[in-house]
Amino acid sequence: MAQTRRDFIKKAAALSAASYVGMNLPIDKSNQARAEEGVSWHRGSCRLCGVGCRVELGVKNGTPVGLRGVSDSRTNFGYVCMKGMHFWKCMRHPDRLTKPLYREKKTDKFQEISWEKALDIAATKFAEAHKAGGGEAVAYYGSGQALTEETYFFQKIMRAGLQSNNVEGNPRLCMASAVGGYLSSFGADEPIGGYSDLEKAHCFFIVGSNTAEAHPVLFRRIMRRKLDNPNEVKVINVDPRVSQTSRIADKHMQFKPGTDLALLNGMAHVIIEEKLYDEDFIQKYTSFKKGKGDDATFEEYAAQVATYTPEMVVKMCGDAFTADDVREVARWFATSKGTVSLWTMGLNQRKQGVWANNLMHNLHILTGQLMKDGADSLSLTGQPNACGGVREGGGLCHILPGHRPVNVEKLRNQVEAAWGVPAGRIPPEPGLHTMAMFTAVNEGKVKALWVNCTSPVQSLPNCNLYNKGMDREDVFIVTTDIFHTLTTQKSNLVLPTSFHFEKTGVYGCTERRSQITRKAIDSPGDAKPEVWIIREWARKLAEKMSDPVITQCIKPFEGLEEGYELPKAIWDEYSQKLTAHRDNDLRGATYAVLEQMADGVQWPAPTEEYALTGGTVKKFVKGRDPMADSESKNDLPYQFYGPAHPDRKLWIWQRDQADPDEMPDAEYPFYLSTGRIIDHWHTMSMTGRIPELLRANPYAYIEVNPKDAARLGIKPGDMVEVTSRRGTNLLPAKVYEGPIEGMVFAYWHDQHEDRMINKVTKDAYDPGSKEPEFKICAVKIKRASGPTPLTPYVAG
Amino acid sequence: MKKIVEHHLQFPSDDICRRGYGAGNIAISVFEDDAGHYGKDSYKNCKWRLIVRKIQSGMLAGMMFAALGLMLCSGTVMADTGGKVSHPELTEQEQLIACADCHSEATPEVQKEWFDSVHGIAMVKCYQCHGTFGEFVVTPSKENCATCHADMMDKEPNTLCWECHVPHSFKAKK
Repeated sequence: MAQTRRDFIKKAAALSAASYVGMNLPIDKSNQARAEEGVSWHRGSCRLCGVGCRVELGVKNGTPVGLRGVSDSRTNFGYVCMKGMHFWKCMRHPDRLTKPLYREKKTDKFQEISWEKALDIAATKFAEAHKAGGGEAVAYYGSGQALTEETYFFQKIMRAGLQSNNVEGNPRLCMASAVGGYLSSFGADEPIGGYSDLEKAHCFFIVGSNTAEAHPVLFRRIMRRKLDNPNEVKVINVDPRVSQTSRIADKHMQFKPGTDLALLNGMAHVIIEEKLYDEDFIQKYTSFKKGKGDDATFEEYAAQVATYTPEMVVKMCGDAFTADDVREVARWFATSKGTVSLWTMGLNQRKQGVWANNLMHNLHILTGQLMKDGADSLSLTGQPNACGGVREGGGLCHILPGHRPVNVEKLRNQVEAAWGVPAGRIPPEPGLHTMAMFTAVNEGKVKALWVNCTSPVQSLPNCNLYNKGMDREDVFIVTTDIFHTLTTQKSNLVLPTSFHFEKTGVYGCTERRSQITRKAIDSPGDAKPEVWIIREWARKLAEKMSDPVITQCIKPFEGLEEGYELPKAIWDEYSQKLTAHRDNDLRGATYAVLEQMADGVQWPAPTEEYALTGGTVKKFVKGRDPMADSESKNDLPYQFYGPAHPDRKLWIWQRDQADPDEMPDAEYPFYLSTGRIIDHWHTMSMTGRIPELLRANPYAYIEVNPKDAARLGIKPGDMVEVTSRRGTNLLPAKVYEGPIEGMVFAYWHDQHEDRMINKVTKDAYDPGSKEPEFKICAVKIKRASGPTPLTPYVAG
Repeated sequence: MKKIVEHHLQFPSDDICRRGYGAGNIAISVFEDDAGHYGKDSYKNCKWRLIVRKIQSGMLAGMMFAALGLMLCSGTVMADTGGKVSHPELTEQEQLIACADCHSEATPEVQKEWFDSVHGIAMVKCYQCHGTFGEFVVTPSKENCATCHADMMDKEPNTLCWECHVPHSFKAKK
């Protein structure tokens, strides 16, 4: 009997159900969000995005039973998003890693081993690699989700212990261009203002950010501001794709991917042409720059942007808006009582990522839309501790803790002195940035790699290329994580770690805000906090390498209990010794203070007394920022004391439109862009194991503009082959007037080999920030078949 | 024997829904099952749509539709033999469809109310209040509301949320 389509779907569904991984969690964990007998509530931060929502975990008899928002927190006022509501459910998931696992060859099966043996193997392999190739042969690849104490401690052992600056982390993939933008435009990393500006803003300029899905709780604040003040507040959404964020926009401007630099210059042109700039602000606080930092003048800048007439910008951007639109948004931006710009990966993950950030900042400097309440140039961070741990704590190859560039001897010596290690111990040159690090893995130059709390097998662009290196048997890989991931599948040693609320530590979110999460429950099985793992590993390393300097690195932390005392000692060393008098001065943000605060402390916060007020809401403003007062050099109210601008001014840069690395052509005629979806976090190793979240978005799909779909005969649900010069995906189609015509879009969370979009993306990167251009590459698409039942996949 | 007839129909609305239906692009296959019932099957197979189609073709007991309508509109509980509130049966594949996808057709008024509400704009989805398939409840627990609105629970400990707020639009009742 012929099998009908419906029969086929039913049978396929039954088959696929049997092969689900991660679906074995009984759905009986309803949330307990109110006080109940026997339930204690433990305050901490959300584990997921960079907003820094404060939450309380409900615990009964040592088991998590619910989660609720903290209403007196200034980050989220009690609200949490879909992911945030549910992430606690993976804490007791049966897939949690609970024993160290080892295999000599990556083709072997893992065997459970003791911690003693596991740490001995890790130390032996790193010591051997170091002996063979010195500091260049070892590498650490960390995460913006690791606690600050963890990142700081790892990099301390790598730099001072193994004399390697091969210290990187996944924030290189998301925030490095924002760092470059802030340093080159404002002279100091991280935003001047923060979330408190949202309720005071009169104009929002949201570019390259689907805030509604990537930062939902901040989006709620913007939405509420708009809905409560529909006529007074304007929302401009600038994105090649209409997204959920566009729903609150007064004006959505779509453009051909990569042409937003022209649009931003066009807005500057209108602002100058119509004399909407703040002449007094420019005269007092601004320098003009071109090229790699050569001095320029306002007139030169005006002449440069004059070439970007609104009419020309419209053509460059793809004729999807009008010249009047350009003029109108420029006026809204310049003349509002306060304009806040928000962006994320749409600007950062670009070959011209730093330039795009510069052009965004240019508009704020030009119009004086900074330092006042309701105005800020606010780069949204993707991860919960990309700012606090990695940008501030020394988690990238070129920066030491406290925003210190590696290549400045005086600053290196400060760090060496604080650690009590000999001067000259830290190598003087930056290590390998992420793409160079994994290139070195491919070439077998890195012999021992430690991957902590991230999954580069899935998250690197053009991942097929780099996964070959991680398959090499002569590259030893140790992974620390709570679940198996695609990266543990390429590891020799997998070490089970404690999850959020199973250990203590600090996260620093988008707005310079540090917040503590204290241990509330025990880890399952033999899982251990990373800080314990690092200390124990380093002790064995010191023994095997007969190196007393490594012993010195862990000396202050010996004998301390790992759940609280150890991370506290690490935080004390970092905050008291290494942030003192730096622009991220955290001396006042002691554990004692952080534990008292509902929502932590914004740096700079040099004293406990000041930190207890909440810290600095606006940087650089005398009377509001203690460093603006202590570092003041004149009578002006704003003092730009950032370390990167000797003239203590904000810099407006001449940056022209420049194409992405790969443009569509006859063979690959579509732009591809990728992004985050509200229900899933990154590579879905956590959210894919929570049934509510998995079911909400079990697969990635490819969004195709209806006009393109009609031309190619693609109907909703059809399976579509998406091919670039690097790889192919097979994805179900969503025919949707989201992406602009000529562009397709895919979410990047799906682990399935057919739908892992980073097989397709491109690994070109910004020459300054070294951040890859995930957001733009060229692909071809074709209909492969009609609708096909699909199987969700989570590596187990 | 089932008679399957595939058609690609034009969705009549110009609206673009969240999952990409609409704009004249929805693909629907229409089929007839063993009992002669008609169903429609979009790219993701959906029991709710089947029910609606059966109702529209007048071949399903009106009682079921009435019960469904009551359940969704007034919060009346439809209990199974165990007394537990249950969602109509879904296959494993159907369980992997976002709630709003089916409900944009099965209960379009409810879906639209939610979509246009602050919850809809801020993407607080159906499953936060009603649970996902396995734990589905028609009437949400206040505990779920308390995840974000713990302060209101303290302020109004003995009042049900929906006594003051219209379900799905969340506007204050007049």
